[in-house]
Amino acid sequence: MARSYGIQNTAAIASASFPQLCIFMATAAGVRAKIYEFLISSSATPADNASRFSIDRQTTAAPTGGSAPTIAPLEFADPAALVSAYQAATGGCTMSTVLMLVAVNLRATFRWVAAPTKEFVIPNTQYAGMGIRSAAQTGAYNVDTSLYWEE
Amino acid sequence: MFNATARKPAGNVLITEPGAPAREFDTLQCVHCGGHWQVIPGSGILRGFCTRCHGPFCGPQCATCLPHEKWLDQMERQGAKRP
Repeated sequence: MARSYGIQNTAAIASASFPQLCIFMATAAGVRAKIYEFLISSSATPADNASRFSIDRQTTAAPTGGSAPTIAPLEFADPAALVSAYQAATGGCTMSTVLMLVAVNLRATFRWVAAPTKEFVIPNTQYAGMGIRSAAQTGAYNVDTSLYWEE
Repeated sequence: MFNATARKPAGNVLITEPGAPAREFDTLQCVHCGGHWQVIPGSGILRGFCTRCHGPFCGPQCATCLPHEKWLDQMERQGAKRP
């Protein structure tokens, strides 16, 4: 049975070209991670600002410049995740296919959930990954992102 | 406010914000690239339906039939060849 994990990030957008929050295969670990839910919101002072977010595939190398968030298993008895997580990247990986594009107002909370078997799938290949990137923002403010996947 | 826009949705979006009713809509998934998009009836955005995969695809850039599962297999084979 698949195991579910989650990561969260709250920070200003580190780079418009690299993911704010992502998961990737540090090595081909024998699983295909499947992102089934993500949330975007902001805890900044309410104002009329907006960000455009995309869910992108990433390849080539591991992300750099940020840090690795703690991966939390949704079932506390589950072992550590086989994929790696990264937040606030500013380099390293190469972003490729855009899989979803949304624009979210600072005041709004956006939640996407996949229907069963319709998740975003990451191939079992070294450095393959996927993450939430903010390509454009009308003002600098903190965004809160969460990402959930099963593997 | 829920707009049921797809008979078999591949995903669901919920947007909540102060001073406005919650909005909820469906997403469909491309059978070739695996991407999702919001279903907006009458938007004029060009989508398609692959009769071989029996599912929707996201646009002209995904019109060539390469099933998502096959693409994943290809990626994994290429990855396995890396040093």
